[in-house]
Amino acid sequence: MTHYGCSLLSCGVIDERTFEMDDYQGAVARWCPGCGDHSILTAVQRLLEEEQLKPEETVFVSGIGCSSRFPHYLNTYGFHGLHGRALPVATGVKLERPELNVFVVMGDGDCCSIGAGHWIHATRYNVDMVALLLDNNMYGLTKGQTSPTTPLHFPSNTQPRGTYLEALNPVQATLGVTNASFVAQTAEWIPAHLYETLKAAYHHKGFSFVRILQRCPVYTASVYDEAVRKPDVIEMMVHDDGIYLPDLDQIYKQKIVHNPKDIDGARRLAEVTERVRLGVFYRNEALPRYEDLRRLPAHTAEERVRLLSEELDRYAV
Amino acid sequence: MSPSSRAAKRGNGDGDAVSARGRGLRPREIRDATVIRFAGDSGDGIQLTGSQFAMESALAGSDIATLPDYPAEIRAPAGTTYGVSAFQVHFGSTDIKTAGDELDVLVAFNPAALKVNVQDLRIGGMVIADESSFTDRNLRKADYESSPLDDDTLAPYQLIKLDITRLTEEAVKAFGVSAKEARRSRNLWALGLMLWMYGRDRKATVEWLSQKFAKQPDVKNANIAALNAGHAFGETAEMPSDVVGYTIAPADVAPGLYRTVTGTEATAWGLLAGVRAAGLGRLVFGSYPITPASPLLHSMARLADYGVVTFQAEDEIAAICSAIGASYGGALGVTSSSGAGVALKTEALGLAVGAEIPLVIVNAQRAGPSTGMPTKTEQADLLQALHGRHGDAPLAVIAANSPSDCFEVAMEAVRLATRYMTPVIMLSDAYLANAAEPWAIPDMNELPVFPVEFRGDPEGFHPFLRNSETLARPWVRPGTPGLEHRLGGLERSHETGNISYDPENHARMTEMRAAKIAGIANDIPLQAVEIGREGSALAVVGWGSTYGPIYQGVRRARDEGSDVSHIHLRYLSPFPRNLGDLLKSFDRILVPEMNAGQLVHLLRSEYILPAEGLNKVRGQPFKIAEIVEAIRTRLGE
Ligand SMILES: Cc1ncc(C[n+]2csc(CCOP(=O)(O)OP(=O)(O)O)c2C)c(N)n1
Repeated sequence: MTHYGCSLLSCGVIDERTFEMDDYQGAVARWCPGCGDHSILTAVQRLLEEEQLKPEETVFVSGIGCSSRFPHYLNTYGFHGLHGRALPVATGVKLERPELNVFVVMGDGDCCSIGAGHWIHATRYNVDMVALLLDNNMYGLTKGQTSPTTPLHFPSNTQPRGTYLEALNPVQATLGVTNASFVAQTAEWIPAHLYETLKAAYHHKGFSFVRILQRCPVYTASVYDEAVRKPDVIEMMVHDDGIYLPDLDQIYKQKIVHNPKDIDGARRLAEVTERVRLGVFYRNEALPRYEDLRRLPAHTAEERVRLLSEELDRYAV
Repeated sequence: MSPSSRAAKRGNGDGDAVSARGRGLRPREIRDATVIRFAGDSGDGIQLTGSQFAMESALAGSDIATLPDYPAEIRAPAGTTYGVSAFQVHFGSTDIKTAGDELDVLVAFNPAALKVNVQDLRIGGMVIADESSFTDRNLRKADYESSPLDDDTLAPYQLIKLDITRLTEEAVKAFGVSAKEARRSRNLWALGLMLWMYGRDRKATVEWLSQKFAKQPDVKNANIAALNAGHAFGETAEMPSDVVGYTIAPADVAPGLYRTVTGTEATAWGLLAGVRAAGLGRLVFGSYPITPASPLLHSMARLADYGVVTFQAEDEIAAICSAIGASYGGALGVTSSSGAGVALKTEALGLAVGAEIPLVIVNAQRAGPSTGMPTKTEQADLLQALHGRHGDAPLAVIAANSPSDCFEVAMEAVRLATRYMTPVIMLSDAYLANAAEPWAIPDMNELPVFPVEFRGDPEGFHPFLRNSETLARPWVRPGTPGLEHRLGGLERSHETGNISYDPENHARMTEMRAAKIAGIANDIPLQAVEIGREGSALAVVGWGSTYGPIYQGVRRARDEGSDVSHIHLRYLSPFPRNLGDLLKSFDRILVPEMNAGQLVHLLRSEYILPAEGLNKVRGQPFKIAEIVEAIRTRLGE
């Protein structure tokens, strides 16, 4: 995301405030103990602090679900809207206020099921914001129903003998959308990688889609078990223009060099294998952003009145 | 406001100059008002012909009302009855408030157009038919066994058969356009003839053609030649001897600068004027195309210069959600739709009620249920507007009664939305969206203002603090330090603004939301009697686009001596404070509606009144005669 405009405080005046982690702290998080959402919240707070984002210029928009409680746990502006509809609300905020830092938090039911239409179109609009998919492979808030990303044969309350369908792959789907400009995948149990990915997403000018693999200790505890316990299941996509954390080399030995400019490579790597790939699949800042395409002509209020009067007179009789 | 080249003062006798010219050899007869309908295939340019005729009539000083009627299919198979497109113009020197009950003149470009429209022609009215299109093939398509131009089908009318196709071809021969192009100028030939018949000028039409076909000089010249040839045909008395021209005196309207306006255009400008009156920088208009609401999105899309951001969203849900996001961001979010599209917005409307977000929703109602009759008018969404949400979710509902009234009502929607931090539904309908009438252009600098105050003071702030007078919560623009807050659909504590599941609190918040909307009644005008008097024998109570026919019907009945009054509601939620007492003063109440009985249901349950419905669900406006007839039977006359 980028920073233009100025806050009410900083306009013409030097804003001497510095923000600590605590300044971003909202209500006490009420997710289950062991829920991956806690570490995502921590990483986000760290990002806000490191980037010194002004709380008043930052907006978190969410849908409905456990993960969508996110905005309440931050002391920024926030909007906790409808199940599946976080992206259009965020688009509306940006249409009016392109200068704000907008983050969108969605669950997998939220983004990939009920909100799937908006997901495709928001990707194509490429409005400058960060979209986080907190993917626990299950409907959490409503207590354990199959989601589009639930792995094949994994049981749930709605499909007790296991799901019938192959899981939808959100990264692959996003990479298939025209005008997709930033697609990354990370895991909440690798905080350093999570943080770096959030940072890259934040600094990207355009719609940054990040799928965060997230453990749900209640309904999908076993899904990411292997990936958590066996680092070799994870393959880090590394590149100077993507994410490379040498400190992680010791643990995550499987690496593949992938240039985020390479869309064909990205699509190949997004295909499902036994490997879980983390890193930046694709990044392209040259793609058009909706808010730039739709920037309004700059007119003063007086000019607008004059123009409107002329418009009304045009077909006067 | 600076008059531009096409602007002219009305009501100052300009029309005399027009009607004095172009007199044929035979003297002109005087008429007060006339109703003409042009009808043909959807590819015949009927809508353009009709609107140009209306424009020339308005320029000549007539009061006008127009009613376009077009098929749902863009290009239905040529010559079929379901592909017929029509445009009706009612114009005259009197106060014109409807598109007219009966036609005086029907211009029919083919048998199908004649077939579906002739029943609206008054006995003795005139049919002008293009003979050459009454071929065997076209007659069959329209289900005529023999040509109505040759048998006695049209005996009750005055029939004028003209070979308009051939006459047009002759007129445009010199311009080297193809036979097909030539045929396409038929509508202009007919327009020229009708302009002659009513002593109207051709200048604005010539100017418009010159602009439209600036890049195709041959087409431009051919079209102008066709227009002139039709006019000359009347002028040089090639018409049958019993056909004369008419003179219609200019209407007696207040002097001022006027333009013709459709309900759609008036809504667009009203919203914009409202946003300016509220002192807001921008209006964010999120919408998804649907007939008959799409033209509003088209109109708004042309207003980027005036601070309008349009967002053609991926669906209606995204459209309203983007408007909600924009309002949260500090603009006014507006969305519009019709029928099925409004249904899709209902979940988000509930969110806007719960989060107390200012928002305007324009519903151009169409005939339902489901896809229904997309291009036909109805007012059957009143109960949906009032109650069509989950939970107790009150909001403000107001309705426009004529195309030009849409301006004021749209402005009022913005005022209520921003002052009360609530979604406001503005009801219009397919008729209002498309119909046009003259409108006195207001001076933008003299319109009322109702500036919004964004909260900036962090002291004691929470997002559900209420203004003691309006009960509205504060509006805060993100970017304001110290006022960071979260909004959403979860219930809030009235004391802290935090999420709360406390039973007492929910009861209290439910009451508060209702009281806020009910309180709007203290901030709107008392209900007036449009014509007639309080306490008369019968009140005819309407809302929305039935205004014209009810007004004229009541006036006619009163002229005949009936003790009847007209009351027309703009505010449907809440009702004006005095409405119950006012209605109780009448012996009987009749409620005409283009639905199966919705306002009547509300009035009966709200005020325990024996109100009675008069319901029409034919996809068409009421006729004046239907109202007069209903009044007569109620009053036993
Ligand atoms: C329109 C609508 N349909 C259904 C629901 C019920 N609902 C709430 S959250 C949810 C799914 C939650 O799953 P997910 O989006 O994956 O988020 P999580 O809770 O796992 O974080 C559902 C179905 C709703 N709130 N609104």
